[in-house]
Amino acid sequence: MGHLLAKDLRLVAPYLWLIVPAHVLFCVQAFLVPELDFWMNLAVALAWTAAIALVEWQSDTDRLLASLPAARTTIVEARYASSLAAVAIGALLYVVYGHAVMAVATDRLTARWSGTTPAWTSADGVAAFLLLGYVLVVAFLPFYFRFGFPRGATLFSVSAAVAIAVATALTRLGGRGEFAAGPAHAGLAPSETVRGWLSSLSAWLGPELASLSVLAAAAALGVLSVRLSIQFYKGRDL
Amino acid sequence: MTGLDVENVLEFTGVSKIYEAFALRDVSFSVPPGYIVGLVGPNGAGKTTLMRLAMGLAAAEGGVVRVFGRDPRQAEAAVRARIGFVHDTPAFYDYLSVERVAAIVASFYAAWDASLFHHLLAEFGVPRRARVWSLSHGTRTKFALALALSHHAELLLLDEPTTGLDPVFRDHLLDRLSETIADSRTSVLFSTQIMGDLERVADFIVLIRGGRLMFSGAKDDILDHWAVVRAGAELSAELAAASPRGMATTRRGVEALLDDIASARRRFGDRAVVEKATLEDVFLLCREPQAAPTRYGRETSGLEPGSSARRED
Repeated sequence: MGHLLAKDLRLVAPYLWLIVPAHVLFCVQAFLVPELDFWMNLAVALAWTAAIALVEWQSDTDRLLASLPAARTTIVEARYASSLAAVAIGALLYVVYGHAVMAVATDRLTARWSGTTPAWTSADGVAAFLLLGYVLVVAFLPFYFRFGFPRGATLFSVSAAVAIAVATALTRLGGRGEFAAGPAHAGLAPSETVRGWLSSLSAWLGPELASLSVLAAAAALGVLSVRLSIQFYKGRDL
Repeated sequence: MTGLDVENVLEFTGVSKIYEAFALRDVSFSVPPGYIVGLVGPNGAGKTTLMRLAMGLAAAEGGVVRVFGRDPRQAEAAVRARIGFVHDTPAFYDYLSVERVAAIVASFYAAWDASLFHHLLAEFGVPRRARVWSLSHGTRTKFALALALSHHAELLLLDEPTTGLDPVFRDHLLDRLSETIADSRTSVLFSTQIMGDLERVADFIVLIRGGRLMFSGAKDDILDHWAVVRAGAELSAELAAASPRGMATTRRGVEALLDDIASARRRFGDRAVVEKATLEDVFLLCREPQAAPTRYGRETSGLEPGSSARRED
């Protein structure tokens, strides 16, 4: 597993410097359309996962990797580990850069964020970041291991779009429900919806039980995803 | 000589693999320890599929594949740690340098020999600091060979390694392969369409065509005992009745490949040209699947290349 994680790190190492300009850009972005800040940070965290898959597809190195002395199960587990590590590091950078920019431009930033609060300032905001990153990773990787990068990414995108459309339609048909966020959370701030959902769940079940429920659901989803990926990848001819 | 009662390093037994446009059917042959086996066949014959099956990159739909006595799909890491593999089109992380790619590969092998690797890079003329994308096809293959040879593999699976190499380096590589097996613990299965390569280094030849095994056996048996009979068309029926391994019609008449030159000379020597067959002749003419696979290796009582005594037809 360690060799595979080191391999992923070596693959992205030449591009790690991009983290600095990307976050500088996000800091500027935080003043322009604050609601997008969350999503852009999340996107760049997920981009590291996609980048490794993209590099291996573009270089046709799936076969090289599968020819090395590593079991396919280990390859799958390592990919999950590196992807989730990227999300965690992305969350950390999001918080660090958010606080840094807030520290140097408190008044202007507070004015831009009127009516809501930046996600990096609250635990449920960071939890929303981690939860969304986690769900997207565990939802994407089975597609990747079953179909390879281009087809897997396409099918994942289409499936995600359909799932979001269906969920939105159901929400609208059935009213906003018990866990709904207020109108101020709609529109360009869907991260607020997740934060609102987490807060509502916490209010309904109590903080401890809500946290446990979310963790249990995430763990079950993760186990299912890893098992599917292993089964898919083991069955694939490379 | 390596040998008796030693398990075959690689065994295919009745192996089948079905693709949409191609099928490998009932292929059986083995690679004994300490020998070079040449896998030959036209484009699309199934050479690369066999290599991928041996590596566990693809799953056989029928039959059994055993590498070091184990299923390469089950004991993936353990089996591959003992194999050096060169793909037909070597793929690397192109934006990285040769050294960085090597560092990635090296980390997977406990037996990685860094000094041997650097020696091989220098010997093969592969620039260490160059980006992989800047390497020519030939140099990429040399790099792949250096990687495959640097962890003291016991089995080298080389998929058309000499394609795209200049004749001087090809010659050099074949010498190195011969040196590699001199320790009697390393075996080589290499596919090629260049018969000269096989004549130089192979101990055994496996010929496949259209996914079917045409022949597997000792190279010296072919060169010593097989014959090509070139005759006028009037002998066509008689040659066909002599159980040839293959026949072809030419502008001058017919050519037939027979596996017993003495018998061929007795029967046709006065009416046709009977010559020792070359591997090129076998490649071009052999079209009849082998009735029963030639056995060599673990089941046999000897492994001397060129000795028909070890064959059990």
